[in-house]
Amino acid sequence: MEFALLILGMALVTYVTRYSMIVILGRWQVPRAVTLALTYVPMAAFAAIIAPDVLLRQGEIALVNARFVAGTAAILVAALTRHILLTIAVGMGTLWLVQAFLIH
Amino acid sequence: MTRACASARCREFFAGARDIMPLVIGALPFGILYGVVCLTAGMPGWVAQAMSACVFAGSAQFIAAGLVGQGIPFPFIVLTTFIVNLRHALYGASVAPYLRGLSAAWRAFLAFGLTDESYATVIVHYRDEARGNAAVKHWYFLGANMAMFAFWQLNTAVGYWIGAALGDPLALGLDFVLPVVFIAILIPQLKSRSTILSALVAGAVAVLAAGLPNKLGLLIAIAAGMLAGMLTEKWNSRS
Repeated sequence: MEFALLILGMALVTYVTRYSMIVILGRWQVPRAVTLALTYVPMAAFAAIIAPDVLLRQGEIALVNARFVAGTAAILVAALTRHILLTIAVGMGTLWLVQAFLIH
Repeated sequence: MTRACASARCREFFAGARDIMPLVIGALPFGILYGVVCLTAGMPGWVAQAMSACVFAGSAQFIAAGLVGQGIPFPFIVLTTFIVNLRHALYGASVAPYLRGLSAAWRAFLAFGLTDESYATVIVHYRDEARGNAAVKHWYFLGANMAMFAFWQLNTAVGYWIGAALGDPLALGLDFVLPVVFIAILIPQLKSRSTILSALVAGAVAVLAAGLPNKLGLLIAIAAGMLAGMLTEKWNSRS
């Protein structure tokens, strides 16, 4: 029973975070500055998710790190080819190669 | 599969389901890990599964299962969930303009599936006017949401019931699939000085604030990235 309440509470607050802005911004005209600011959300969110995964190792910045090498390789391939599957293949391939032969 | 579709709605639906697949695969190890954490936290199988079905928010579920294992009171876990998921409000704000013409029922239903993965997939599709059919792009959104949802349920079940036998899903570095997919989506979008600066600032702040609890660092980093992008754009237009 208590678990059911926990799930209900979690489901409710999660739904509120997802739905609230869709309703609010759907009903009222949004100032131009807000629309402009929102165009940067995806870029900022992607970068904010990627950077710690690539640069941090146990909470410390580590450049001698298989993930940093693999991430850099993926960024280069993405910039040069704009090809999603190729980027994933090179990123994961580099990670496995570096982990297997050089560093962890 | 999209070729077999007679209608534009059907094509959009399957295109959404197809485009989210790399992210679905990226989320796989986390789904399995979540199942294992639930198991070790002493949560019954139905709780693990019901949470995946009703909450449908990977990181929040993961943290919640960990907190249950530590015996943290439930109201505090609900509050933590709210803070962890606050970034979804920004995602909601970002897709809101594209959903204006839809009925309340459509918007309410699409909002339920607004995960990191579906936002990442859908926003790129909405932004690119050359892609897809603008009148029925909500079907693309629906397809992405439903594919993610179905696999998330499957992952949870697999993780809970046989996860322990599979060994450590992180050993192969499969958790790195997600950041690599994000790199593949992000880099081609950085076309102007302001977008590049926005991404650089957000990344730097995220690294510096990574120690903050409850993914607050992520929220602060996104806000900093938005500010950097806007300021650069303003400065550019003046000079």
